Amino acid sequence: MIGDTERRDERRLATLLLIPTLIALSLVVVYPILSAIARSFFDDPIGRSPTFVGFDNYAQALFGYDREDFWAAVGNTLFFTVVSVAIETLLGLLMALVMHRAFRGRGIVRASVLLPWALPTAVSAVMWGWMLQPDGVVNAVLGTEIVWGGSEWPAKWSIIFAEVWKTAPFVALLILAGLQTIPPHLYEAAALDGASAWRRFTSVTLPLVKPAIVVAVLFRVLDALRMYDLPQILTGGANNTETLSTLVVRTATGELKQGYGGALSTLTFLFVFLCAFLLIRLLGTNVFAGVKEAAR
Amino acid sequence: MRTATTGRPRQRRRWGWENWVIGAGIALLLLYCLAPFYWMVVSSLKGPGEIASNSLWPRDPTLVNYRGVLGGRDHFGYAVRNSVVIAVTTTLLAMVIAVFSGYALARLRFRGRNLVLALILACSMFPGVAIVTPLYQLFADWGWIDEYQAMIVPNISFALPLAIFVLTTFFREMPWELEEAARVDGCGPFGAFGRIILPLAAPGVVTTGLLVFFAAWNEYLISSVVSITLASNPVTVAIAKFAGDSEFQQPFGSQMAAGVIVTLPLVVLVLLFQRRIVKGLSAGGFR
Amino acid sequence: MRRPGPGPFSRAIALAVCLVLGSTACSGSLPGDQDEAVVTFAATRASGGDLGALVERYNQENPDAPVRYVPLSAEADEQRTAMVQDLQARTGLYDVLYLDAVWTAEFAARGWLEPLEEERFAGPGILAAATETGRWNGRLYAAPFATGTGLLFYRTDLLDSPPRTWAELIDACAIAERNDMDCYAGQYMRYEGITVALVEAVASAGGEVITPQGEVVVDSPEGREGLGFLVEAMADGHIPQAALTYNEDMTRLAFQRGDLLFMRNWAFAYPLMNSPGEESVVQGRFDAAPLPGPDGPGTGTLGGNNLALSVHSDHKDEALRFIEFMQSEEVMRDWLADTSTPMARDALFEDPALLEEAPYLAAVREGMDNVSPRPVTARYNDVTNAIQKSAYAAMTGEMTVDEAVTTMQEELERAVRGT
Repeated sequence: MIGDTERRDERRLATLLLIPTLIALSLVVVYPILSAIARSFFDDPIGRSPTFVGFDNYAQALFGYDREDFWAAVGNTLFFTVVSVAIETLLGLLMALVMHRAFRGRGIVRASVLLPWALPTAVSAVMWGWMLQPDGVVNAVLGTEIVWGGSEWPAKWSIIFAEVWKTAPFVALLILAGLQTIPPHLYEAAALDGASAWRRFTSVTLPLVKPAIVVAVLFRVLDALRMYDLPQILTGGANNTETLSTLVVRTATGELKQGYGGALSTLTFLFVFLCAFLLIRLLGTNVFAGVKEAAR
Repeated sequence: MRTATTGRPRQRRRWGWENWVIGAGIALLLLYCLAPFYWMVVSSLKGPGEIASNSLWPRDPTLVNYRGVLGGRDHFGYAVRNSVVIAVTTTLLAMVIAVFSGYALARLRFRGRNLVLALILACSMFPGVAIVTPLYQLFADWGWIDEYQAMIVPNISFALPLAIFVLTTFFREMPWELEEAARVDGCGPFGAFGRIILPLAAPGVVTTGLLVFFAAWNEYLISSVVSITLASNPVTVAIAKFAGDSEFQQPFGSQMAAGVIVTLPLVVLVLLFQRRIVKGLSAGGFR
Repeated sequence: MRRPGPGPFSRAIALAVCLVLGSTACSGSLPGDQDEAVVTFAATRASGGDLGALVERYNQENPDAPVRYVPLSAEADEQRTAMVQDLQARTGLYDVLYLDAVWTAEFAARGWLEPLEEERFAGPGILAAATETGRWNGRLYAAPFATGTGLLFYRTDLLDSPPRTWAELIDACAIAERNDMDCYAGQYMRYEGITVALVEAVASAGGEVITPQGEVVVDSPEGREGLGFLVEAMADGHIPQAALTYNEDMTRLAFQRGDLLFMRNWAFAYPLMNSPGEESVVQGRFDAAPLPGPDGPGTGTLGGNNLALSVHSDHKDEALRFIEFMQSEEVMRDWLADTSTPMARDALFEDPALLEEAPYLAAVREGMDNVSPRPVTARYNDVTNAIQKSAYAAMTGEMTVDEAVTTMQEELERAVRGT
């Protein structure tokens, strides 16, 4: 039984512990977000100050003149996210299982698997761009003459391939950490019961590592929905590879339309929010579940 | 008690074919992860004349790219220093803040808990590119342009949502009854948390720390705008300023050499910490 | 205003971290660090040469008003973003700006640039075409510095003389086929390069994309003929499909590998392809000529970079003195000799010593008599995005030439109107 004073103490301690986070977030993230949202209700003139236009910018993106660009970007973003996160999760799980095993030289294997993720995206995008040149090493090794950046599907797949190569290790690292918290005696018990390796995997490993997988997938989805560098550097948005983030950059920092760009950003935010909400509903994350009683 | 065993079941040895399959899988995995790296290293060792060729081995290996990058032309050493300062500070501060919040969210009961979580998560949902302009304005008003804190503070904020979620997930899996017991045994609340829970959660904490460090090391979007001079440019911004000898020439060799240089410290870091990632639990030795 | 460079707080953080890590790389200041500089010059690192060295030379001659050089990104978009952030926030970090020729209108229209005196910065001796890229609404806002236009590079070992017309160029493609190489390529990736290519093709056909008065006229027989030439050459295989991914340097590398008979590129390619350090199979086997057109010499697009003064500058007089120094014949001559970039001064195209070093200058000068600027508009980014989109779609065959030109006309009209 927990008394009222204890409850109040807990609340006070929680507030105290959360304050640094809330300050850091409101300073650098919440304030700019709010100012971008506020700006999205104004137009983008040159030579006079912006005037209030209500929801015009939103209407323009959703069903106005620029709707084709916007909905194409939504479609591409969703496609890139679903395909690349699905591949990354499977590959990441595989990598984590390999890294988890005890064998000689596993330190080297772990470091190697994490390398792609350590490479700055700006460098890896340039590297892939160079390798995927029509006369580049990928075509040379494959013996093909594909112009990767010259038509829709090769362009899309090269973006997905580079994205997966870079981010699967992120998923792997998180899953590996999850694997480490599974108490060994559970495996031993399952093995004594005569469970096969596959059965041990599905009935012990997967359920216990699920919270880690969910967090990894959640954050990968949030990131992939805002994918910018790879399409920007590899294709420049050509061949129907424009994502929501490249569209925002083209509009807000390229064309300097901060009102319309702010509206696009806000729509992107709502879209990502919706995706995250559905994902959490679908997968469930124990982070959102209530606090468990200390004594189990 | 620190024990050497990792406690994995041994009877798997029985299936010889399984080891072969796994060995082949590891080899494939390594090939997949390392082949592009191999190409990066090879390219970085090619001179300007050879750089565009597809030979899988530099015909005439040269360190000219490295000399150019580290030497008088690009002063890349300064950028590495700046990145170390920024990433280390970010990681330390972000981890302290995230451990506080993770503890509160995993362990304490208070109203609005899920709202706080949703708010934190929502901060990872706005396109980062749209934050840059208001942030520049803000930092310009504060005189923060070209200062380390203009990169450290945003890095912390961007790292927090992931760090808090990972830590909260891990803390929730911890056997808190041990903490209770330690508290009863006379450790203060912080002592109990620090001595019992943190070591148990080490895989999660170290992993999170690595994730935060890597993210700070690779941050470009904000830095490219708020960091102006070589004195504060982190590696990513410095690489974007590489230039060829002629106006449109692409400095591919320098970029690849710089890629190798910035990845090396991270390899060392992973090698150093990978034991921690793995041994976290066995160090606890129970449960 | 504060000058860029970490302040005491940053240094304290750095010191603390360095103490903890025991790093040795922590001491020492940067070479060329001008703590007492009064003027800040923001310019790309990728200008072809060492602008920092020029600034140092200026500082030696002018110790009373030293200049600090802040190198910006190699990517044009990011240079522009860096300057725009500073100008929008009125930070006044940058005094002198190294502007791409196409940015003048936008920066001037937004009131970010100080107007310059014509006599002082665009007087006699400065190339008239280059001066036009520094003007907006009849006033001079940027002092001409580097210039240039598209050139047709061709293989002298396979051809006696360069083609003067499009028809001659296409006819010569038979030679390429006999030698098992591709015929012609320019920059057709979806970026600024394809805008340059389209403006060049339309202007060569005698048309315009947007008139100096701001009227969109690309939907015209000339517009169709210009784009049609590129699209047809692509469809017939005279332009390889790979060119859809080419920027300036990729085109240069393809030509240098011996894959192309003709190439459209800027002057920078010339010295590189003759450089002994490069693995170039075309060394001494190529030359540059003005671009061809439908029935005679074509029209190249004007490139180049100008020097402008920020309205937020606190040291305008000192900054103007520095611009004047940069524009002096002596500095421009040295810069040309050093970087092979054509410069915006008539005299430098006729200098026998320079011509011997850089024979392509003659072709550039010939081309400069008949150049076309890219659309001069405050909404340049909208305009170039609209051009890129439709022109690229036509090149890949996603749109017909008709559709592309109609769409481009419609989107350009809207872009110029603003929202």
